[in-house]
Amino acid sequence: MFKRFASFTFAALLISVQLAGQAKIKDVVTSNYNRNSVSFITIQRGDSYDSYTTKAVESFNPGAKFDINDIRTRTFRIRKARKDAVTNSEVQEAVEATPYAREILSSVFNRDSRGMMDDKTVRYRGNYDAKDQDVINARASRVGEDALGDMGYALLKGCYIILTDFYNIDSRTDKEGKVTWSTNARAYAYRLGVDDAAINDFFEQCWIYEDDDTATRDAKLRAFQNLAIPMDYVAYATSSGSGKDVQTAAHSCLSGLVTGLENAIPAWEVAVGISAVKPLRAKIGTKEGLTNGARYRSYSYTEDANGNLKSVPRGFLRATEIASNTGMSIGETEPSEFYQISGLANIEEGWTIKQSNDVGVGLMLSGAFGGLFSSFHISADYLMKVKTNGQMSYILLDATGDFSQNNVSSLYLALGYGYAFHLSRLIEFMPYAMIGDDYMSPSGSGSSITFSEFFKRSGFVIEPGLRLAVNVAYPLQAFGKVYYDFLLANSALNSSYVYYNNYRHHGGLGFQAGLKWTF
Amino acid sequence: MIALTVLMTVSAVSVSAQTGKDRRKSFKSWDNYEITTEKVGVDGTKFVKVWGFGKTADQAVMNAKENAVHACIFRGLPGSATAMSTPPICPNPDVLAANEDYFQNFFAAGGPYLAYVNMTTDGVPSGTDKRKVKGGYKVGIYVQVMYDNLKRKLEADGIARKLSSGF
Amino acid sequence: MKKALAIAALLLAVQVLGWSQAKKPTIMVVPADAFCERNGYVQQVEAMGSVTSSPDYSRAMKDNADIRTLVSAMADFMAKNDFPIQSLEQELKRIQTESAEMAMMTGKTGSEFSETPLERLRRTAKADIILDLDYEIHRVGPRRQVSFNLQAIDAYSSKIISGNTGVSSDSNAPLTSLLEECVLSFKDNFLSGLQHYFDDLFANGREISITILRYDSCPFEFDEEVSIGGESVDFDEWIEEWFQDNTVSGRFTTATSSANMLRFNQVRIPLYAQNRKGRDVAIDADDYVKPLVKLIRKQLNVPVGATPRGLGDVWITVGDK
Repeated sequence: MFKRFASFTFAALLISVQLAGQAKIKDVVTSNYNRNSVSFITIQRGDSYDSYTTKAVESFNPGAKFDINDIRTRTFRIRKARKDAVTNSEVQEAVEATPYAREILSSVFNRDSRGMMDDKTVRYRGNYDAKDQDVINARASRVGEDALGDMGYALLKGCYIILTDFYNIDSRTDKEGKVTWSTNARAYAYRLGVDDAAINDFFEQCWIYEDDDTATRDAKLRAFQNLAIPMDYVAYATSSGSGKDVQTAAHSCLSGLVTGLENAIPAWEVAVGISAVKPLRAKIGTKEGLTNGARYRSYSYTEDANGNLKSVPRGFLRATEIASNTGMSIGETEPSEFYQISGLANIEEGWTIKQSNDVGVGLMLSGAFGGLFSSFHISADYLMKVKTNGQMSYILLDATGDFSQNNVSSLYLALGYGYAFHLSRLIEFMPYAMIGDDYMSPSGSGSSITFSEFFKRSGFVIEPGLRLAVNVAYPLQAFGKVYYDFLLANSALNSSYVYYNNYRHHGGLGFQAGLKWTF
Repeated sequence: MIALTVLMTVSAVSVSAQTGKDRRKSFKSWDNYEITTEKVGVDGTKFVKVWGFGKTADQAVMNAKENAVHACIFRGLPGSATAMSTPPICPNPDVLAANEDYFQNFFAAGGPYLAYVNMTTDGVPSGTDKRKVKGGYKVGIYVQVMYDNLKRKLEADGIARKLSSGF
Repeated sequence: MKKALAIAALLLAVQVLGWSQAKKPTIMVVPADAFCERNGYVQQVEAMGSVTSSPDYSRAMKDNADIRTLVSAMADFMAKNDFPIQSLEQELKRIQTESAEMAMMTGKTGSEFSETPLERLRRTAKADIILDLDYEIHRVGPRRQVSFNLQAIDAYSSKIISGNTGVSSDSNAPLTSLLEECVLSFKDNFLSGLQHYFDDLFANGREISITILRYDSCPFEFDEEVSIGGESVDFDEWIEEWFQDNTVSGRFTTATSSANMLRFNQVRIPLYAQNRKGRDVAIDADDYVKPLVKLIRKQLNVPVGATPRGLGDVWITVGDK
């Protein structure tokens, strides 16, 4: 079982290496990023889960990064069994049948029952989206800062609807009668298909002025009803979640969907220029939904003799100190701080950094010599926090078995905490401590056992140690560990373990060396 | 010893001659830069985006500032969707030839030209505005040129003609 | 090459010195006819027996705050360039009083050539350059955009010195910002157009038109010979000779030459002439033709009259005043 797992992990590593190789950046990555606005819509199936999924979506907040367009049609029904996901073409049909473009424009321009509109929201968003450079530019121009609000019109091109579909909803009851619901989810993103010309047409045909006479008004109202602005399909993402009821399970999928869409829609990936080095700083923060540990990739630019511009992907970095920038820019936005985690070259002032989401989980495969037992180890770590000086805290997980023993069911589970220091960005040095449970029993005797039986067949392990990791080619790292395992097994509590173990596993000094891939 | 002194003198002379010549040479071929009008600037100023080249990014920024002033004096600024083009202060190409010493001094490192240009890029040129090119960097910066002040200065120094001159 | 340049510079300097006491051209901003019509600033005027509509400037200036914003923005930058703009409003007031006085004096000339209000304005205000200003405010939904068209017109020749058209940003910013943005947008281009015009003026003189008309009471036709100082010469040739001697570099064009009418275009006249006391004074078309009128009267012993139409056009009538 573990051998299979190990080979699977290897295969996964290889595939992702290949994927990273294929995902070569051809388009020029720029530091242009503008806020997007979204509306979440639930696809209903006409069954009893509809109300739960709808509630889950309605109560979801995608975070400060997005503005919300409060549109009217927030659900629609596709009659199809809940077992399978709805297909692209089914969604497309439903989107075409609903006047989403009109609803978005109504919401954005605060259209009232008389058909009157205003641009308060648009101007607010334009002001809110304005970067320091925009503010400084506005001050240098005659029209002045009044023009910042005008930037809101360009944001109309970043209006999306997210259609969320939940399928394969299932429940499981464990031995103690606890019910867990799980569901798969899929989100389809459609963008309001407007350009500057379409927006101008809309104003010309549909915008009612106070001094318009009745005939003009009626004509404009009709024009609005006949407005033919398409919604353009952009991307989809999938996710799954579980929870104590359907609503919680559905809700738990949603942030995963947003992350998935972020990875698929370049316009959703935050990008900005590095404003200072030592430490690395960039003017993004809570407004862009930046969180500690968020991964970004840096890009520099080269231009050849023919004036062809190329963006060159450089090292990765992680956000450390997050600035609160949720106010309107006055030209002096506080920058957030970053720590560079890869790349031979130092990231320079002015380079673009662009969001490059990862889970922050490192998967490790290593060989152990000494310690509790000598065998392959499969372990993982999760990055909890990054500091500007390169100090990082990790949660560590070891989930492996003793592959060197025959006729033995072996499982080693350990949880720990590590605090890493970076000697340079390429070399990480981490003292850590783990508490583990070493399960061992004769082969074939392990199916459906109770907790107390499990502990009888287990020994407790405390492992202090040091880990040294070196970047090989990010996200691949090589690491070595030196540690001491204290095996705490007594014959009263861990009777079967002590009896069966018979000094197969024992405490002592151990070494490990292996590879780590960060996802 | 004498030979050494002679050698040193000769080399010193040739170095200074070289730098002076380079500077002059660069003046003649000073045309290879891009400049665009961003928007109509506040009264008396031109709000432009201008590109410069230098061995380092900082030198490129200085070069871009020089270019901005150079454009206002000799080249004029192209228009944009909402800003009309701006004619050069000295449209006559002979002005440069006739006043080369004046402009050598005007555009010297840290020279008077700096008083008429104000960089409005937020911090450093960033993103696609900072490009590594063969031999150095190419940067684009946002700049306010004090066009009216510059014009008045050149008029006062007798380089440009006043509109009211002759009346 | 360098020598030639130096000489040219010297010549220029001499010219400049020569005109150092000269009068600056005056400039006035006038709303364009199209603007007045679009906004209903028109009045019905009775001229030559028929009723025509003509722009009502005083109402346009009084009722429209935007145009005052534009004019003061333009006056501001022109004043900075030592060219104060003549106030149209003040000029209109003056004309009003003047025409009231004139009304009492009608009948003296009995002239058939009546001037339009603009021509009268041009003549009485004596603005050398008229800035014909047109602008329109477009609504683009919640945004506004100003489009403008400013023509600088040489009041003498009615030629366009510089034309500037463009648009402001489309924005929800206050209208005054957009209007001032327009002015700043065309400012330097406009000034450069003026500079160009002045350069031409210094080099080639002012451009005017002159029409000579024959009344029936005139004893000769224009293509007939007349006796000048005992010499027989065609009247039209004699007149042309006068222009050859009295224009800058002898530049003028004979547009029409018939038995009853002579019309001269692109007549380049010096900016200044000496008055009786030998002082340089700026002259307009009317001043320019005075010696010619006197000469014809003296040499041919016929009544000759001159009627100015604006600054740059004058009609000379031979045979009657």
